[in-house]
This record gives sequence, structure tokens and C-alpha cells, in this order.
Amino acid sequence: MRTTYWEKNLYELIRRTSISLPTDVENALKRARRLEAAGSSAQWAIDSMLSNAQQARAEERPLCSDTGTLIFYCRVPAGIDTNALSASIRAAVARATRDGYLRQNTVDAISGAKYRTNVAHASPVILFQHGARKTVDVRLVMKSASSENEGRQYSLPNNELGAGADLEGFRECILDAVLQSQTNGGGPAILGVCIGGDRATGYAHSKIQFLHKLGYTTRVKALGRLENAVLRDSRKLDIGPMGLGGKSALLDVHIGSLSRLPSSVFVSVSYMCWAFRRRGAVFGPGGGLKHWLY
Amino acid sequence: MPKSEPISLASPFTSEKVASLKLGRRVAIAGSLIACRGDALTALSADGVQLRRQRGLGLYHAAPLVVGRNGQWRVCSAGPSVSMRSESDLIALIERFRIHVVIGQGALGADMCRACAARSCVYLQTIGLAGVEVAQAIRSVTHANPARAAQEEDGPWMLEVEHIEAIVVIDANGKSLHRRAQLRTRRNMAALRSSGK
Repeated sequence: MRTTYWEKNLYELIRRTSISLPTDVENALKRARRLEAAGSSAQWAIDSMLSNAQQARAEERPLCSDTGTLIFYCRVPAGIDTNALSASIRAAVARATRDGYLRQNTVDAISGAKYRTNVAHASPVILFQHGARKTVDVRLVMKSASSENEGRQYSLPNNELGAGADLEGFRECILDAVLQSQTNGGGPAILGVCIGGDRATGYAHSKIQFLHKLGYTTRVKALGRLENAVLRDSRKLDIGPMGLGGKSALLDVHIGSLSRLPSSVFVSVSYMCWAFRRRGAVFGPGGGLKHWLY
Repeated sequence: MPKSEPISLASPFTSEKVASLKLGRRVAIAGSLIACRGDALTALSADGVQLRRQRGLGLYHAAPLVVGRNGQWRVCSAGPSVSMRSESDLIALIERFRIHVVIGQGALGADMCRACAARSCVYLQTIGLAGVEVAQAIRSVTHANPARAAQEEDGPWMLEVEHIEAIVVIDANGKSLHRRAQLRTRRNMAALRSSGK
């Protein structure tokens, strides 16, 4: 494996992710802006977000100073050296941190001591999955601390919310998550939701939903209807961007599901701020760039 | 609420300047700010730490992403931090340095409302995560403790800013826009529940 080649292209992936809001997110923000009243605080907030995104791209600066957790989703063909690929990703992260595209944003769990380059035990997060293709598909999601803190997991039935273990109950939970995060999150938000699984797989699967482009509706009909119902209802709450009031509490909701135990029903909700940094690229087995994703 | 042009608010920030600011008003901040977050904020709010005292500073709850060294700094990005996590430190700083303007992200609680009312302070919200916009407005940046800047990147940084737009979310009487919004959205949620069943 030609590690220098890999490292160079992975560095570029990180750099682009940090500075450039994906087109689907930018377009969703523009659509959200049209939902809000002219001259409202909500519209002012979205204008600031859009101009921030444009300036970040034009000046090649990090879109957001909350670098967050770097999650690399890698789909690799059989036989690829995943240790070498991990090493290249870690080297690229270290370089991007030194160059100011990433903040020094990783600390020891107990002492709080800083890691200078974001490379540490379990940082960055690198997840491998084997795929049928001969190419390597690497997608990077940068998930800020302020968004991660707004994640919520519900065990159903939930008496406090009056939510049963059915579609109506799932809707109740997701709307509660929207309500709870209204003032501290960075809305308009994108929600990744998983129905089922266990406490660990539920959250993991809710985050994988962030790989879908905004505007995508799941092909599972019951969940597709749930996605639309949540989006529609969220507009009636008058939360708006940054909790300033208005219709655009959410840009989109993606809901997936996992099989579960008969007597354990989890709804796991991961929250993503408007500064949704997600990019990807497809590489040949030697690390050559085939094309960009998103 | 019609929002035409923002009201200019320049340092030194005094109780007179903030007294008449109403909830939901957009303001444009200019002048001197301390930017700080996390442990650095805690340290600053403790009595042991000295800061070259300047009257009328604003407090920006943020840690700018700064590159450079030996006093030659450049701010890449400077979005606000979620302020609820540091509420008690922010209140201690308001009292210690007689601060009348705090800029942060998200809601603050009843304690901050009381502190704002008692000390004639306003809490303003900028756009969370919009780091580049704020960075653009920064004219100069220095570290309050230059020798340790590389180690203490959470601040305190001293910023001179030209134009940062924000919205008044707690006024100098201790009224909170977020508190009102929470009551309103909960009512809306209850209405949604009763209509859905």
C-alpha cells in the first residue's frame, strides 16, 4: 500500500469536509429560509449561516470551530490492508490539525490532558465494512460536541411522554428530542434516528443515517411516512433556527431500523447541527482518487 | 417582530448602554471582548487569576481557533460555545469584572436571569457554529497570558472586534427569550398531541 498517496488524498478529504458545507445541506438551508417570515430573527439566523458557509469555502477556513468527533466510514474490498489505511487516516488527521483545518479537540478521558494532533486511542473513529466493489469508499462526518450533547435515547413504553411501542410512540419520542434540543443545539437540525437495536447499535445506526443526502426518503414506507410526519409537526412547534422561533426547526429527518429483542424497544436520536460537515470519496485500491461524493 | 438595522453597541459596555435593549433586538457589537471557555473560564472566574483590568469589556463565551505563534496570531474560526455548561462561571465573571455584555450560544437558566437583573447585564446570542463570520470581524487578537498561549488555547484571548451581530436573549431586567420560547413551544406540543389522538 502506497501510504503517502493515501495520506495526501485523505488529507484533502478532511480539508474539504472542514471548509465546505455540502451542496445538499446548503440548498436545504436556502429552502428553510423561504419558510420563514421576511425580516424575522429566523431569517437573519439562516442568512448568517449561509454567509458563514460561503465565506468558509471562499477563504478555505473551517466552517465551524467545533471540530467535533471525526467519524470515518470506510467500505473496503476484501484483502485491503486496513491497518495501513487506518495509519494513513491518522497521519492525515494529524497534518490537518497542524495546518489549522481541525481544532486540537481531543483530550484524555480522565485527566483532560490535550492530545496535540487529535490522534489518540479511539480518535479519530474509523469504522470498516467489507463491500463487494473493488474500490474503497471513505466518508467522513465531523460531529460537533454541541450536536453530540443533544443526542437522546428513549426506551418504550415511556409513561412520562405517554409514548407506546408503536409508530405513534416513535413520533412522540422524536418530537420530544426536537423540543428538548431547541435552545442548546445548532438548529435547523438534521436528525438521524434508529428504531430498534440495542443501546449501542441503536445510536451507531442513528449516526449512519447522516450519510444519506438531505431530501432522501427511506424506501421503508411506514418509516417514510414517519419522517414526513415529524418534519410537518416540527414546523408547528414554532422553534425555528437556534430556538429563535419559526418553522425551520429541522432540515431533515432520516429514520432507519434494526431488529430488536421482543421486550426492548429503543428509539435512538442523533442530532446534527446546521454546520453539517460530511464529505466522501471513492478511491482505487492503491489510493488514487476516483471521484468525490456528495 | 420587524428587524431592520441592528442597534450599535460599542465598548466600553456600561449599564446605561444595555439598560434599554429589548428582548429579540438585533445588536451589532464592536470593541473589546475577552474570549474564553472551559477550564480557562473557570480559572478566570476564580479569585486567584489576574487579568489586566479594563472597564467595560464584553465577555465572549468562545475559544477561537487560532493559528500562529510568538504573538503573531490569526483567528481561523471563532464560533460561540454552548453557554449553559458554564453558567456559574459566567455569573462569577459578571460579578468579578463588572461585565455588562455576555455573548454566547443557547439558553441560560434562572440563575443567569437573576444575575443579569442584579448587575444590569445582557446576554446575547450569536449564531452557533458560525465561526468564520465572527472570525472575519476580529481586528486583533492577543492572549491574556502570552507566554502560555500555545498551551492555553481556551483563552483568555483579548479580541478587538468590528461588527458581530447578535440577538438579545436575556435583557437587563432578567427576562429571557428562551424561557418564553420554551413555554410557547411546550403549549404547541400539547396542542399537537391532543389533535393527533
